[in-house]
Amino acid sequence: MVKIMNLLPLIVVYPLIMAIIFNYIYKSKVIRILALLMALSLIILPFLGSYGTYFFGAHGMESGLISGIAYIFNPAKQIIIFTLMLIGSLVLITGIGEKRVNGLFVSLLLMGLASVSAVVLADDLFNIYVFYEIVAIVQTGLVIASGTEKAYKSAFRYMIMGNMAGSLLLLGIAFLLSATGTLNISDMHNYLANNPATPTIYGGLLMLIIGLCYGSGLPPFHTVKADIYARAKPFVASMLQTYSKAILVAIMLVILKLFGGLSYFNTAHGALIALSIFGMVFGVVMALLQSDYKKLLSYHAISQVGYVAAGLAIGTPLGIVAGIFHAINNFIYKSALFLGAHIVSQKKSSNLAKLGGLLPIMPTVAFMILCAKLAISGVPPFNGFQSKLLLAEAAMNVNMPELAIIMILVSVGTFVSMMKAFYLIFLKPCSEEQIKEYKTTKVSKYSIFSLAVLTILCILLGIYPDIVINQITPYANEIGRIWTL
Amino acid sequence: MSYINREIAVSLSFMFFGAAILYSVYNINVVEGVNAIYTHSYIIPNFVTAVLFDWRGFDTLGECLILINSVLVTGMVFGRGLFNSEFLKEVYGNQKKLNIDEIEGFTPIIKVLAIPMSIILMILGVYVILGGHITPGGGFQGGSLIAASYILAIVSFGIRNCPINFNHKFLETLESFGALIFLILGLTGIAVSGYYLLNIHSLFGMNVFPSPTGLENAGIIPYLNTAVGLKVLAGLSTITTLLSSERVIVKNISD
Repeated sequence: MVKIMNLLPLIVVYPLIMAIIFNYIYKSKVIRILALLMALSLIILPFLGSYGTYFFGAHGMESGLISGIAYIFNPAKQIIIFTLMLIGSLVLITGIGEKRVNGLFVSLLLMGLASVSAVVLADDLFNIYVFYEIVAIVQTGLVIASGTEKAYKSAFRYMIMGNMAGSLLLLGIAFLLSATGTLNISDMHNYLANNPATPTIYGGLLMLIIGLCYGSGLPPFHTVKADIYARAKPFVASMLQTYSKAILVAIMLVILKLFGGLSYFNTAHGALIALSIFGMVFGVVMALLQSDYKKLLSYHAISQVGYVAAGLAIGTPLGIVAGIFHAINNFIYKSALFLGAHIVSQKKSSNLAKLGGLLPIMPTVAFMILCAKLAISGVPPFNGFQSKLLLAEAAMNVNMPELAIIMILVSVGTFVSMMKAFYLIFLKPCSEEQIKEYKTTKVSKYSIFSLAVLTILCILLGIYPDIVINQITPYANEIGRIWTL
Repeated sequence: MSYINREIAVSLSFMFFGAAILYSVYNINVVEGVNAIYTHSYIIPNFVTAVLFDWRGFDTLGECLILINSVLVTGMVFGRGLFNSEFLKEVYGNQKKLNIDEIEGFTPIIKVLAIPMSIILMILGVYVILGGHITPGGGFQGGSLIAASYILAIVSFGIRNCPINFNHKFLETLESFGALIFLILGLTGIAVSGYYLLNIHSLFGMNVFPSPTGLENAGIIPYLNTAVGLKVLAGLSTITTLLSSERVIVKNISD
């Protein structure tokens, strides 16, 4: 009783309680102030819990098995959740500047944050499934919030796919439960390591990978996922892609933790690497073809998912460090790009053909967007360079130079399409009338503030990557397995 | 031609996938594992409720939140809290007269039978919720029963003349209230011992969560059941109201 209380569940529970309250008062006039307070309080949450295993309802180890739901908290998860909450609060702050902000939007956003943190923290497959479903519904809702016909259509398509993938994931978890007799991931790994494989376990692994692909937007689900990013409001899309990537990291780590080091995992290993390469290449090729800025960014989000997945799928300690670090960098610069797209579309539209000549109107915003663009293409002083370097190094260490070459080529493609977009938005000459029109439209200060915070983080992590890497390394050493081709 | 090719590709992949699933299902060999712990340690007479609300209470909380979220998103589809309601205005704004609310419902025979049926269903629902820890049933089942009785009444009478009249605001309050009770009962566990959703039987020798004398002392489980019941009945009823009435959309897009 005397020892300091472990407030770990508050990371999940506090946003949920606030989400229900925000939904109840959704039209009140104080929403903006409350949302601002909420945004500030979110950042404190990841520091409440203490490291280690946490058992819900005090149902810990009984006769050799963990009987209840367990959460595992460690520095790596802490930094993932911190970045998640930071992006969440910046998106909330941007949302305050919107004209028709309401409690429902805030509520859905908070539900999503809580559920993604639960997926990251949980050491229990069924708990992961439950919160994974919530995230799928939340993403649908956040897309519908933009209220256009296309948003309705893409959200509906996403929901139908989600039903299928979600039920398959549940079936896979049921298979694994029946084959191993437990839902706890650590116990399940012990069972799998000591018993021979059965077809049921293969089935479970297959379904887990399908769930992973849907949750993160790897092929074959890349088109639906890119569609919802493009149809949502851009600042909401920055949240959506953060959710997807956090889920990717969480479920990929679960798969590695469950099956890592088992002899029959090698084929699945190859399949995961292949999926991530497809994701990278499809994403960047589709992005090169787009004429709409939001769509271009959406396909880049898919391509970046491929990078993160490739790093994690390699499965060596270095690969895992690189994957998680790239995911964190990605949260930051991709959100910055989407916020930039939000500012640009507030000025005029997101159609690249209609834009141009914005550089003299808002030079600071242009500079910040340029920083984010350089970060995503992996140019040295920014964070994207550090993690892409680590990814290529991890690929070389397992004797897969082809993977490293593909990564570099995709980076070049990213750079080309990003610079094309930068030219079309900011540098292309435009008429006098358009400049007058630009001067009359105003951009909300809140979104510029959020963009500035993210840009500073991009540069900070680019110069001092050790802040993050040192936090991740112990966990990566625990999960990763060293191998070479 | 390409159309046929696509059909063949889809059916082939469907067959392979289905065969893989069937092969896995055929080879299921159930390991007892943690199930042995659940069936051998006694908490309350209804072992299913014990798993749902005690061993894995946090999962049940998540399941409730899935329902809450679905209700939120359904509300959003019907125009609540959109950033831009141009599209809905385009679709619904031009209709001068909304005839769907005016449907009179079914014949008198059905109306006469529906009311006693729905009252009985509702009572059964309350019974199932309150006895969830000692008899088969629980919050989800009871809440769905009550919502089903409401749906029966709406279907047979039409939403205008429905004798069981749940106000939209009332349902919303009930749902938020149910979910908040669940979340906050969990927090009392943290306050007492540091474990979320701990099943508290007594605090300093005092019974804080009383249950009727002569029955089991089940701690917070009946209370959690009630919270889930409230939330499920309110959630499902809200979705029904939304789906059966265009007034909500018109009201949402007008302001």
